Amino acid sequence: MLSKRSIVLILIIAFASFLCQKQALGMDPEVLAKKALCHTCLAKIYASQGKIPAAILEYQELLKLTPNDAAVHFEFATLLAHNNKPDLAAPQYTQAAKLKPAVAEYQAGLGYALMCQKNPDAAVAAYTKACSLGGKYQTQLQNAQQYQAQQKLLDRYKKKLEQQNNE
Amino acid sequence: MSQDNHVKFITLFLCLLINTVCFSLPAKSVGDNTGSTGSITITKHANAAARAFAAHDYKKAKEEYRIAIGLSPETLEFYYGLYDVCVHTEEWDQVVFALEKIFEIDASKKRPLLAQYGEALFRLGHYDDAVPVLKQALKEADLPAPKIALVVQPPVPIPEEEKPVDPNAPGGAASSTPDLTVAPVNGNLPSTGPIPSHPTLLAKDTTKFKLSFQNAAHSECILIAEYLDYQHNPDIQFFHPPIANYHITKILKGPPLNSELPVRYEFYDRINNALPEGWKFGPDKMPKKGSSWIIFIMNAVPRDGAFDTYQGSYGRQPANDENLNQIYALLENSANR
Repeated sequence: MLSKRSIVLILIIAFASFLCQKQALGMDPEVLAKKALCHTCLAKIYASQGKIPAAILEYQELLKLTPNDAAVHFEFATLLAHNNKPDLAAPQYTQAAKLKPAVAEYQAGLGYALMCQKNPDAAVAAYTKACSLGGKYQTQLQNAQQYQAQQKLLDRYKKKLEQQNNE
Repeated sequence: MSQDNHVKFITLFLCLLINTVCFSLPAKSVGDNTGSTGSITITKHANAAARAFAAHDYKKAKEEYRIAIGLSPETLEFYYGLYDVCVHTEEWDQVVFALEKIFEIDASKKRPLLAQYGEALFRLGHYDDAVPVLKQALKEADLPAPKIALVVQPPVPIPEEEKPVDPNAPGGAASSTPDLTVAPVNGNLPSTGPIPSHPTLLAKDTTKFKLSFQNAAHSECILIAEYLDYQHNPDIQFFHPPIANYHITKILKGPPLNSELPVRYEFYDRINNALPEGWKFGPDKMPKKGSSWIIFIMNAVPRDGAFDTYQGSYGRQPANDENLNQIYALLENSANR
């Protein structure tokens, strides 16, 4: 005859197993694909109709379903960048480049994001990588390099000014 | 000690049992019962479509599905096949057509296929229609997709209008005996009802207007042929037709004739044979080279080096989808008797 303690132990183990299985299984892939398809289509429709807030919401829902889809991050970032939201676009570009570092377009997007964040050194590196992957981003690379050079000049000037002030 | 081991064993066994019984994956829902294959012709086209699809020959698969649909327009599986093919070829207008027919035939298939329908509308640029469909599809996303296998139901015969039942007649209104005059299909008893009639080759059209496919289909030979050219002759007139050369591409009925087919190219049918005013022969009176035709030949014996077609010009019909569907249906119904 099982004691009450044993029965409770059995139930706890069983429930724990159930939770683990549910987490591992996640959403049914078919359901996931269907929802992702609907959100993708809706996002593109709203974007084409100029309904940007609605499009952003759809992309956010889509990213909840497919957080590791680099293409979705990139598309979302492009939408944000084209609608004067570079600060929001930058992390999306970064994520796309991180997920698929071998895609030239994503590296170029990252370069754009880094330029928006006033980080020309890293932007030059990203654009250089984009060009090495076969993308035609020489213009963007040159701009970034010029900005980098100007930034260095500015920093030197600031340093000199500081020194003069200290003297 | 042994009691402790006993308890531990039971504990472990019960854990495993609960895991297996309660948390194993639920069985997938079985597919719809799609019945068995139907007639020879329909099965042939359905199989050809499936083979072409498997070989990624989507153009041929689409053609075969369309023929199968023409023969059996209420078969859900064919529309599903057409939908599948057109998704691959990105012919979204056809995808929408196929899905709408599926919904028409079986409304229960609409909810599980809403996402696909919404996508097709989006691809076509029908955004206003697509948005509500996609929103609804998100709500219904948990429904599993319908499992529709590509097998065929036999074509449903068209029933006659029911005659009023005389309650006083023996076995009238009170009778519940099923009508067994219709041949059972695959072991299933037919539903009660009058004997259905459908066009067969044995029933000749007795109306005055004799120019019909039903009559033409009694010809000894029915072929699909490609028009090549005609034998040029200075004596060609309305009542002295040229000999047209065809190349047989398919024999639907009759003996295996030589692929090069000379046909007496009459410009009139046997009912309307008046000479049109101002008629003059020219190359414009002949069909376009390479065009495809259904040729009905009454007797598979040439006369003066050429075959005569059924009722003259009526025995040459364009080999378009509509005509082919008609003739296939007539031949199929004849074969099933």
